[in-house]
Amino acid sequence: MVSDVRAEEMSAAAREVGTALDEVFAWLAELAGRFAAMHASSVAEQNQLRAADLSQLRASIFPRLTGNPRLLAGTGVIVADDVLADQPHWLEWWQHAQGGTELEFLEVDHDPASVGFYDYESAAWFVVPRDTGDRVVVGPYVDYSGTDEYMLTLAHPVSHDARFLGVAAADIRADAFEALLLRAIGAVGQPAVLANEAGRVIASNTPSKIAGSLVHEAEFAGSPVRVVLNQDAEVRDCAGLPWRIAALRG
Amino acid sequence: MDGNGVSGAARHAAFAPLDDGGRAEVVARRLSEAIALGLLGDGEQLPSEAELAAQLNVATVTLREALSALRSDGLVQTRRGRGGGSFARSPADASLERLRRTLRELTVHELREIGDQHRAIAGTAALLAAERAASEDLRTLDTLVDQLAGAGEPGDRRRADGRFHIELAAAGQSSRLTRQEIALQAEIGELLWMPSGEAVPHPDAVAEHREILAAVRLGDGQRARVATERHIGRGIDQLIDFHLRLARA
Repeated sequence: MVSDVRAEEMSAAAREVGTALDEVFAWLAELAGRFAAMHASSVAEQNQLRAADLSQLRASIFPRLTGNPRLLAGTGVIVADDVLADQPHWLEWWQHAQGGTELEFLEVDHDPASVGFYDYESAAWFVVPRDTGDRVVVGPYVDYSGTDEYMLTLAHPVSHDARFLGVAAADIRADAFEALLLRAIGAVGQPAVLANEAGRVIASNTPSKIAGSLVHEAEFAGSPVRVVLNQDAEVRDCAGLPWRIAALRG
Repeated sequence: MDGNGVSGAARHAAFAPLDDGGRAEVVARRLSEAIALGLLGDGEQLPSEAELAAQLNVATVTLREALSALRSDGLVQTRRGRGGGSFARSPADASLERLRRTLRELTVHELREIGDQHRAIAGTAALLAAERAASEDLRTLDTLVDQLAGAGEPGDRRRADGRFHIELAAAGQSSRLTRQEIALQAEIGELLWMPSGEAVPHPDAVAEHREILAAVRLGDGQRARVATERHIGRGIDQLIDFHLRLARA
């Protein structure tokens, strides 16, 4: 039956999406581990971390960014209040410079009294891991306070001895992520979309329902397939899921 | 122009007869705008109540009510006795002189161009938001309307107003429109919220944001677009009016 073939292709596409997310989360787990380890040894040495110490993370951040220039727009750690001795509010964040091959350090306004204050304590990608201990996928959304691009942000909490230290996060260009999945979603063979928890389309194979638009359950033809993350790697839950792949009614 | 050197033309612009009903509110707004624009310099004495009421073409009782409102806003000071009378008090705001200069130096054409572009960007952003805003986006927009309603200072009002329009473009899921909205807010946001010379009176701006948001929530893109275009157009028309008053002075 045609619908069985479709279900198989949809499952394959869902696995591919899951793999793409798993790869980014594996990197974030590694980055979070490095930051937590630095903090642990600073505690052992009774020598509180300073902002400049975070530059040690660059040795792993740089190759990760240059190795994925299309997909990974930026990555780094965002630090919780008063973890660092010299900076109450700080991020060690690197991104691809606009239109170039260079990497640039993200300079933001750390002064809470200023108009342009970069208030990450109200961003879902910081608040959800802090308050729940879960990982989170946010977006796609227009990231107007950071990169001005249409983005997905993935974040992983960093903690040590039950103290929340911040998050390790990555910005994924929504357009590049969609392009990566077009073949898999195209293989479904009829109009189909990948949508997030809120019904926002992340990728689609049809001009009638493009990325950024909303899709409702009533528009689905048959049951959607959930995107599942790799269960072995990480027991932590992930907020912002399930993402679903669904064929659309004609 | 300094406090005492206001030209006859400026005086004329400040006290031009009102044809819009002669309500105390309208009179107070006209005078506070004249102070914001510098048409009435800091410390400058206003004509006598009878004279001013005649020039503005309003009843003396209406003028008194308006002056009383301006006194409580600290824009007019009244002194009794010899050498007494009502005097204009310019808001103590360092940015005001800069804003007046910008407003004087811009041309009607430039203001019209900014308005045309802003209506196109903000109107389309509202249309797209009506199609694409998720409930989370609506919650953020609700918060921003409440923030504008609760904001007392010009700077806070400007920020809440600007954030609403930027968030509306972001809710439309368009990075390009969002970037353009940010650039437009940077260009004219301050002019729209001059201390004591707001282009759209604060309560009206709040009501218009609510109207736009109601249309977005209903998913009625055309209504959201029309309401937004009207809202933006109104602010620009007022800035053009301010510019003309300054140009005449």
